[in-house]
Amino acid sequence: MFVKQIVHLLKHELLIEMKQKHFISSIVLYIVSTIFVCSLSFTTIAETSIWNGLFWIIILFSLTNAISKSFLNENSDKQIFLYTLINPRALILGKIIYNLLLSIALVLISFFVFNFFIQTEGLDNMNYGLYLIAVVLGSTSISSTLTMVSAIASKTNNNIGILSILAFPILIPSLLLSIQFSNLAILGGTVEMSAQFIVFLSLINLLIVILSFLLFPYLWRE
Amino acid sequence: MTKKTTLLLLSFIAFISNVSLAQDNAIEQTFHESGKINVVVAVVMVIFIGIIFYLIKLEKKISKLEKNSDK
Amino acid sequence: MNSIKKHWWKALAVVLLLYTFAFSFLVPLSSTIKSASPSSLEVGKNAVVLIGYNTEFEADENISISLEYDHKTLVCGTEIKQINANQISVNFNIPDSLPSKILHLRMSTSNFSSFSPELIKAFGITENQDTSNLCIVNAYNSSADILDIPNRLQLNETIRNLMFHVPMWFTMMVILFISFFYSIKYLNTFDIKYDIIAREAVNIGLLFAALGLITGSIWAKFTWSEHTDLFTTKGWWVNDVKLNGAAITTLIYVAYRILRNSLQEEHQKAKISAVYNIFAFVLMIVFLMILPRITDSLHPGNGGNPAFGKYDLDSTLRMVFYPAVIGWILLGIWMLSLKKRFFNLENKLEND
Repeated sequence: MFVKQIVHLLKHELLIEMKQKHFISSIVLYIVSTIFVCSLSFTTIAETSIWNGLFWIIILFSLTNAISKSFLNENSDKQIFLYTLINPRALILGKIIYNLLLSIALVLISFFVFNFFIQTEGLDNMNYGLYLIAVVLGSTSISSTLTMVSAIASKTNNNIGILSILAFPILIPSLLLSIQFSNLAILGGTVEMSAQFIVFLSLINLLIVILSFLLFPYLWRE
Repeated sequence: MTKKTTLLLLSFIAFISNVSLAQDNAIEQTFHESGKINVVVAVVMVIFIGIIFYLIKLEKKISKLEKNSDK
Repeated sequence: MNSIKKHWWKALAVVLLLYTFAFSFLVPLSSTIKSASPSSLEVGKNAVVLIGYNTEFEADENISISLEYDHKTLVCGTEIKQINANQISVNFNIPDSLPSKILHLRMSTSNFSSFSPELIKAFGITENQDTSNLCIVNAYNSSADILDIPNRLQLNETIRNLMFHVPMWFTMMVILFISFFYSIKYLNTFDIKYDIIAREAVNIGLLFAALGLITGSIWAKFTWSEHTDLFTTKGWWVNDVKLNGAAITTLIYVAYRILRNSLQEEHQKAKISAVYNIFAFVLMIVFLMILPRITDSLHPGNGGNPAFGKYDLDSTLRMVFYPAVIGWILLGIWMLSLKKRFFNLENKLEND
């Protein structure tokens, strides 16, 4: 029953997304234009660590933009009708999974665009598989934190401003972990070398999901 | 409370950066002489000021309550 | 009798803090050699002036000075001459071969004995295991029972800040934990009086965070700014794990305040901010545990810290550090309980 609800919710979200194509295209446009502005000011970045840091900052801001909207529509009548039928725990898990898929897609798009517009030397040793793991784990923790915090922020008037104030301090540490992890991948590290990053990031992700799962019903029960 | 704390912190930072720009040597010398004991003095004074700050806030709140309860 | 039962911990706070203040202001710093000039020696005869701190060289007959390595005396100081209470001149006759190029200065007087590693460097000698031309030093028994605070490189008198700056962070964490605890309690009961405690605990916690940041910034400026090739800092902010953790904590709880202010209805305010408080506190604790493991720190007990790497709390400092921490924590709880009682009273008056 619980899993069924989540699957149903995912389908529903996807359907809405398909109907409102302008939303996803506006986020992609946001990413492309941000990267383009960066490329106008840098074109080449000699230092790979700066290149990597810039990439993560762009990811952080574009995901904040994308996920801030996840609880915006909840006040419309149709949504309220839907949500009364659904377990709040299924709802938050569904939202987290949906936002995770969305953010992985967005991150992959932005990685290609970023690589296309901004060149750097020293990517010869890069371990692409490990970099992918870093990106997936990092964006998981960013998107799941943002999902939970956007549920909190949606109760206030100033949604996106409050969202970034509330979420960024919580996000700084996992962002630091992801940046160090992906730097290691760029330098050609192996899975064994980065075992502690993988363990820490997965633990943090698990913790965020558990906390959201436990706390979300309190936000919902109005 | 927080607003004031942040304001205090910001003005402190602004103050010390100003001072350290203007007369770096004089200030640093006072702190470095005699085993840097003045650093300890400064630290204890900051904590004392912080506790006094808390007392003043509490007193203001209590006098407001007193005024309200008289009505 | 009842009032003793109710207020004993406040008395304990006062006693512990009095003890802390008395100890940290009255106990002198141990005598030590602060610097040597010249600090680099060459083969042959070298006249060196040693400058001490809290020393009484004058009219002391029992002074011996030597350079040694690994508890082996390499070179004895000769022609020891007291200049004044804090200065002494000595001659070192450096042979052209020694078992080691690294020299540590050992000094013993009738009041103290000190050992200063890496104060003096020697040039031009070759390493040789031949120890035939070394001298034998007669060390004097110095009375080691004097109560004093260790005098460490760069820290000097500022080591006393250990009793003031560090407990601020301990207090902040305890107070924030109280806030976390009462937020959970609020979500279980929806009783507004728990929310008041959670909110006021955050306020007190932020006060201690501000004090910790300011005092830490002052302390760091005048100790870390002058040393180390690894971290050169001239400003008031050092890029260090502990500082970044403190900054993140402060940001989270300032955000908590802003969240509260942006909500109107009282119960909604309490509920949503309690959810954020729990969420943020748990993640913050996890991060504070993980972060030092993946980065270096200037603070004691962490990797990559050249000057304080050997630093750990010795028994004298421990004797006052733990009481200081407990005293400051109790003071923080006292401050919190005053706030709590005030707001309970206000609620009562409003309802009447």
